[in-house]
Amino acid sequence: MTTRPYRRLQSTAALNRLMTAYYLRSRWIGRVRPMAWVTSGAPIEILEAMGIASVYPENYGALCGAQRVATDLCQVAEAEGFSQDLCSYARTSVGAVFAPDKAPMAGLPRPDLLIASNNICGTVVKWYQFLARHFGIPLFLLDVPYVHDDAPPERVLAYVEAQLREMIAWLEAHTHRRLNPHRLSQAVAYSNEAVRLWKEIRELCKARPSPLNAPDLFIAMAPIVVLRGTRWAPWYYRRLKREAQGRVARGEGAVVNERVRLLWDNIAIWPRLFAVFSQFIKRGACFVADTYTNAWAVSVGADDPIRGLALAYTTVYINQQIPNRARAMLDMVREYDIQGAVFHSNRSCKPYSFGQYDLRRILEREAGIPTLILEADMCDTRAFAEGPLATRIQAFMESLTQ
Amino acid sequence: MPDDKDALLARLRNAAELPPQRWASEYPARRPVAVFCSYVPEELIHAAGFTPVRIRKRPSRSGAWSEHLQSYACPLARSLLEQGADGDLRAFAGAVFAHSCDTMQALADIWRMRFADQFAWVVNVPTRLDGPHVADYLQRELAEFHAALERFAGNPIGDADLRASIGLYNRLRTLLARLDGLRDRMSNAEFYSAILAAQTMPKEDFIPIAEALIPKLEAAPPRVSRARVVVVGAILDDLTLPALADDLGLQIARDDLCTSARYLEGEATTDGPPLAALAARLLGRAPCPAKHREDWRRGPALMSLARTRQAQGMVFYLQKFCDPHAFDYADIRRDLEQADIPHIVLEDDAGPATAQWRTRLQAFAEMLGGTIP
Repeated sequence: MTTRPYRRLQSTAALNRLMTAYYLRSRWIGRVRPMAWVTSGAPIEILEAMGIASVYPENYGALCGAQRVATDLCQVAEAEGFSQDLCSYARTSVGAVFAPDKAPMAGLPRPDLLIASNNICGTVVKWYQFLARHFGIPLFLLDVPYVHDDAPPERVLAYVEAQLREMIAWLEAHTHRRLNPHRLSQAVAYSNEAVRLWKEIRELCKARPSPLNAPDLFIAMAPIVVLRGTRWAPWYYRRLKREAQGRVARGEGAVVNERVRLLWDNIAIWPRLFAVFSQFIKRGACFVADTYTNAWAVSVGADDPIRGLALAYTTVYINQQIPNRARAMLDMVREYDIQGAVFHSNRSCKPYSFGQYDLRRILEREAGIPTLILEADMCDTRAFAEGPLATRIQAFMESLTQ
Repeated sequence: MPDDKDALLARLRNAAELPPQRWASEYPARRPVAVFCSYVPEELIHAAGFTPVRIRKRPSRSGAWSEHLQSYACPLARSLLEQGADGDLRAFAGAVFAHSCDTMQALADIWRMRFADQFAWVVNVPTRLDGPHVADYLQRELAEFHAALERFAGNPIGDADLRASIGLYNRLRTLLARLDGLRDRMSNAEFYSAILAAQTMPKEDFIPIAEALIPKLEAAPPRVSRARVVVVGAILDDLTLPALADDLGLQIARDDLCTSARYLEGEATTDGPPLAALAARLLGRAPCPAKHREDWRRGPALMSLARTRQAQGMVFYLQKFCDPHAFDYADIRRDLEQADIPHIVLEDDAGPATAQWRTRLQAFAEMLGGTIP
């Protein structure tokens, strides 16, 4: 009798219920509350505290990618003049705006306002400028300067903090809703609880074998992105943590015969998530850490929530200089006992991908581990071929396990 | 020095085409600093005693960029890195970036790791150009750059030094604006020679040439063109496109390029605090597509430009993998179609695709009508 090489998570049923409810709610909530489209690095706690509903076009892009409809939607955007070289989340979102009939759930509910923060990329600035013009609605850009230093300088934090206060006034003017300080504290508390659980879950992966694999976390990360600041994110992560703790206690790994422990860098290849990872799983490799889901492991200082939000949203992983990312990766290699690193060179995400060649050299030199670069895309299946990916993975794994 | 018009124009052309690796031998008394973006406040570098020199891309030779960057990085970033790695900038005292797009942001990090022993600074120019807090932040950012330059140069930069540099750059921009008004008195290649030379020559050398040239151009008869176009894009690296337009009888009536209009626009005041004046200029000039200003709509601005300059068409000169311009193009394209303004896209990747561009530009010129004068 053959054994499945991979253990499924029972708590995924709770996640599916939660995300289904989230998207169902988003269909009608806009009738009773203002609806904002927001970027993944936007300070959602403020919107939560003001009773402003939100949806995430990036998360929707990932969903379209996983459902393998993103490429068709990208082509709709390209027919409207958007270059094939642009981010595939943006093209997917634009395609869904132009052709909702081709989009899952007929696209996202129409927004009343837009909140973008460039702490994840400059693409969102252009993407949201287009959305603002297309829908004829206001856009607030929270400008978060990139951290080209070891830590954000005071002038940057002061600038971001001042804009957060400006954003609150802007939201109040556009929605006629007031920020309730008590609700803000509560949203920050929920956010921090979710982040704390998320960190603890990730740290459980230091166990050998690791109870979770990166694709589990890619699936499980949806609430920390879209339900941050609500009670529902901790609700789910408590379940996931219990399950992961149970696995650790029983010595059960996500990969049944874990032999190799790896690090993943960059966004998932959504349309081929398990196809790509199964190439590793069948060879006993588990991604015990990754930089992508680590990006949401930043808590908010609760004493002064606005200052805390400024610091948290300025220091998100991808808004930090490459040497800081290298340090974070080297820490992961040491703490998680990692033997190799795989970099997804993601054509759609330039700020995440440029610098990977230097990062791989740093990991090889300072941690002494082999690395692999996979050229692919997070959504657009035309940008890569599975055959060459499989060949490269095979060669990498053979070199690691010899 | 010979000061007939052709001799002056030839000097500008030589300066415009001077490769960075020959810069130091051409100007041995100067200390050049490489500038990678039009948002770099060159006045500060100048006031510190250096000569800012804008570095443009050139066709790849060694491919050394591929040690650090993927092939889907824009050709400008690839080329700048290659020029550094190939030693073309060996004689330069340092390099200065300004925050613009994701690619230049990554390049700045990579550059500072690769050339760790050299002075390299990133002026973290905000992405938002409006709002109540941006001017204060940018001034603080400029103050940091000011302090870094003082440390690097080993000399203080006083307000008087800085005001003198601002005055020099204002004079430069006034002259460039006058040259812009005389586009029809010279060929496109001559005009862009002057514009590019202004960014590579010491300003003290450029200004007297421009001052001598302008009266001669004013006295020259206007040239007749077949049609007038506006050129829109990021960086103009060389004279290939202007020369092609000359061959086809097209007059480039105006542009929206970072090595031209976006560089020469706007003056800083000399009577207030200098850093505030520099910040106000950077925030007030026509925004780069990587920036955001609530009231700024590039499509209508370009159409208005086309009307003012009596241009019949628009040429988008886009760098492959340049996201901000690619997004803008998708948006502006609709505006142009609605306004019935014809346009063409020329894409630049590994270097001038002269033959292909000629064919496409020729077809576009024929569509615009008129006869080659």
